[in-house]
Amino acid sequence: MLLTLEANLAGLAQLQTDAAAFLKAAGASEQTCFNVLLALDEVAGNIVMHAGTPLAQPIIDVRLSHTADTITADIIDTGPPFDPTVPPAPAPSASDDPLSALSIGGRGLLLAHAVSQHMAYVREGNRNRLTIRFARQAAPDATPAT
Amino acid sequence: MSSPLFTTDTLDGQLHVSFHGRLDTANSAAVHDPLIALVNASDQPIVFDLSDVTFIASAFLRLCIMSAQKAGKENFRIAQATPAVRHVFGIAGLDRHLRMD
Repeated sequence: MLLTLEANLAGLAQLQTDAAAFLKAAGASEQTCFNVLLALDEVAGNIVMHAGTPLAQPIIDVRLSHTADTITADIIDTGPPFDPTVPPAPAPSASDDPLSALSIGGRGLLLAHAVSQHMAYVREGNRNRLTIRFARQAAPDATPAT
Repeated sequence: MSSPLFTTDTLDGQLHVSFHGRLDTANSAAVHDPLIALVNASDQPIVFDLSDVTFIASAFLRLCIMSAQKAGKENFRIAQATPAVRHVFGIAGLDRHLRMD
């Protein structure tokens, strides 16, 4: 499946709908569907929120494919160079951190990393290409080791 | 007409906000303004009921943090999250900071 998105909230919603249909047709497990849709929402959402300029919004292409064992997502965008495979900062570890000190955001790529089996990034000309692989039949609540 | 993404009720002196369906980035953006206005106007303990929620993204986690910070830890609770949804709170480390049952 190849989908070209508008870099806005409507585009993100369309991606969720189309990717869910692809995953259902591919026979992905319920947990795999959750993982793939979460990673796509976070990665594409990050592009929508951060890669645009006042003069131009990035173009986002998403290609989904599968084998017997894996689901692969290629997310290609025309935004400035950005490597999402660099591990995000871990979530605060101390349970007694004051709630008021918690940052509001910054967890999207952390989630995408956690639910992905493998991520690879390359800059191709003026485009970013992120490839994410998932197990096709992830067990419930499976968080792949990264 | 599409179904509402959240409905509200007052039970036992608590504001219950029941969410419905998928709370991905787009839907979380759609509920942001009315939800934060509701939370800011409330002087009651707040419960986010997620029993009818099938999916959340980090945008919804942001709404939970903002709401919890406004209400205070003892006055904000996440209720009835499904295992898959609860798992997302866990990945983000928020199950250690928010009351969840």
